[in-house]
Amino acid sequence: MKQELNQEKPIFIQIAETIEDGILTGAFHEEEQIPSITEFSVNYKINPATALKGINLLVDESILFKKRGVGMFVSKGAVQRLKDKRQSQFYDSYICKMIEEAKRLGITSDDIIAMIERGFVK
Amino acid sequence: MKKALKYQLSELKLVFICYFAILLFIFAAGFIGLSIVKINIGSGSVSIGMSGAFVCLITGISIFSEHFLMLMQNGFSRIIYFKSSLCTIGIFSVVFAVAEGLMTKLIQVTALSYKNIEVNTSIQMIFPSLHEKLDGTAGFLMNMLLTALMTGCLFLLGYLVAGIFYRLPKHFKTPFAICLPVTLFVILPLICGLFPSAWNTFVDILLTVMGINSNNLILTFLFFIITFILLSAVSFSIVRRAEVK
Amino acid sequence: MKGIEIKGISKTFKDTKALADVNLQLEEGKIYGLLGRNGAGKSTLLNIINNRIFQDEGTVTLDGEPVKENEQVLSRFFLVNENNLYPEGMKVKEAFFWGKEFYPDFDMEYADKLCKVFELPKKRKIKNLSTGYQSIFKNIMALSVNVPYVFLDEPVLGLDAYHRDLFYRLLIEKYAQNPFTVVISTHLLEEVTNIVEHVVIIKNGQIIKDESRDDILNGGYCVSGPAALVNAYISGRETIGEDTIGGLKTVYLLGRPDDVLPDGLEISSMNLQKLFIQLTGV
Repeated sequence: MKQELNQEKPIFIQIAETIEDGILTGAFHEEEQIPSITEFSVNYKINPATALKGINLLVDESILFKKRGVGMFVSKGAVQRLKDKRQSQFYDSYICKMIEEAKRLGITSDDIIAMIERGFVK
Repeated sequence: MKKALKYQLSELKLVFICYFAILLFIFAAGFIGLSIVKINIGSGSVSIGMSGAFVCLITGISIFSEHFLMLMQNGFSRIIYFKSSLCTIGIFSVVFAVAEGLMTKLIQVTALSYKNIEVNTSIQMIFPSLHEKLDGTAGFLMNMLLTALMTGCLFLLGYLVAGIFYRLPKHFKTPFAICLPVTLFVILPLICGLFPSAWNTFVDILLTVMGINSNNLILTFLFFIITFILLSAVSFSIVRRAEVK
Repeated sequence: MKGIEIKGISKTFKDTKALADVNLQLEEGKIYGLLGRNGAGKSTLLNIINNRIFQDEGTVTLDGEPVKENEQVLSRFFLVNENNLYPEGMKVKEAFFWGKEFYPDFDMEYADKLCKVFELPKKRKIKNLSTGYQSIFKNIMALSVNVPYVFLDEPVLGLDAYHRDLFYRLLIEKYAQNPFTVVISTHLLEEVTNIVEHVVIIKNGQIIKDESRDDILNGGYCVSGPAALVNAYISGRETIGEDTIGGLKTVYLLGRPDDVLPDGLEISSMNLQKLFIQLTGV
């Protein structure tokens, strides 16, 4: 789980992403409880309302669900849902930036493909 | 107001207990010492009132400076603080007067063998002409009541002086702190010495108003009651606009 | 209207106008950051709200009730600032005792626990504590009184990094369990940016920003790149400040950026510190 928050993205989004990462890496299992809002806000030194906002984002996407009086839990099938979401975001999040930088440095698309194949072989 | 009063009383009770404990100790030690040593001591009169006056003034001063800030820190209004201070002063004055009266009686009784030592109350010391009027139980009670009033005025005086000092802007504080004792101990005696007739007239008027000259007890009581009210009014106006910086 | 309403507050000291027609609302259960440069008027405002000094004009009310000289209201406030108003000779233990007497919801166990956590000696006289520990003592009081409106004027001044971190965590934990209104006045922005929900910026005795933290951060952005390109970009737009180093220029703008930025320009988000410096600078 990411311990540091940065200045670039809104905090609540970073919280949501941290929880997503935790689910994808297996730190949080499906149908298991995740840390409480209090724990998140104390840990990251943020306003609890911000932590709640991040968590609600994931509730809206059915990644998490709330059990009244108990806390927040990872939904069944969340892992797959997250993978699907991230896959569709992959192009915008990583590829576009990579291509921009490549263009700046004069790297061709063939060069990139060669680099990618090299990377996967390792 | 009860909470504020509880605070003020508990802060002062230590002062009170210490003062009387010390007095008791001094007199006990004195009498025990004298009965052992059996010196032929000269005559004289004693009163515990004089040192008491000093204690009252100083206590009055501390009530303002410390209690004001503490109560303001904890969400009390100035009006409540003032009312509580007045009650504190009232209660302490009465307790002080009763303690002084009882202690004086106690010392008088135990000092029977020392006929050349006279132990008096503050009233007897300051107003000897009233002394005869205050005989017996009724007199003893009146004595205490009057002492309580006087003590209250003294407390209030200390309180008022502290309040004025607190409210003064910085560059006036030092001059004030210097002027007050200078006025009392230098200027007043000077006036007394340089203009004896004027001074005597002034003292005369004062004693008349206080009912001493005419031996009018009612006037004396009235004088101190009015003084107390006046001092309260001025103190209140000081407290009302006191800021915490 | 629930909460504290500050209307038209003005205060002049000798010839300096410390506060000029200040209007502000403080709702219940929110954490506010009261930001301003040294001498901007933050402490004056907090002192007026808490009945320590008197305003020249204007009113402060809580749920419609005037605050001035009203202990019903004042018993629901608690202010800590650099003043130490506890009597000479009072020990920490005694201060806690009176805290319990004056504030019925004072949590003695919690105060004791915090003393252990901060290693604050309870038997020591308050005046004999170091500056840092006097701050810690006052902060423990503020966390233990359990009143709905707590005002902290520079609460971490003099605290080392460990204690500062500890204090913020405890504050957040307490708030998360039971929300109450906290007004933190500070010039240490970076530390409180993530903790506050609403930001109020004071400059020269006037409020120049009064928005939620998210709105403020979303309400601006930075563009940087070669000076010529940046200048072309900003023509016709409102900027609130700029920095230049060599041929590189960074401008600070209000509003939202276009979706597509011209080549060569980089966009980054506005952070509170940058915004604060640009808004309150001369």
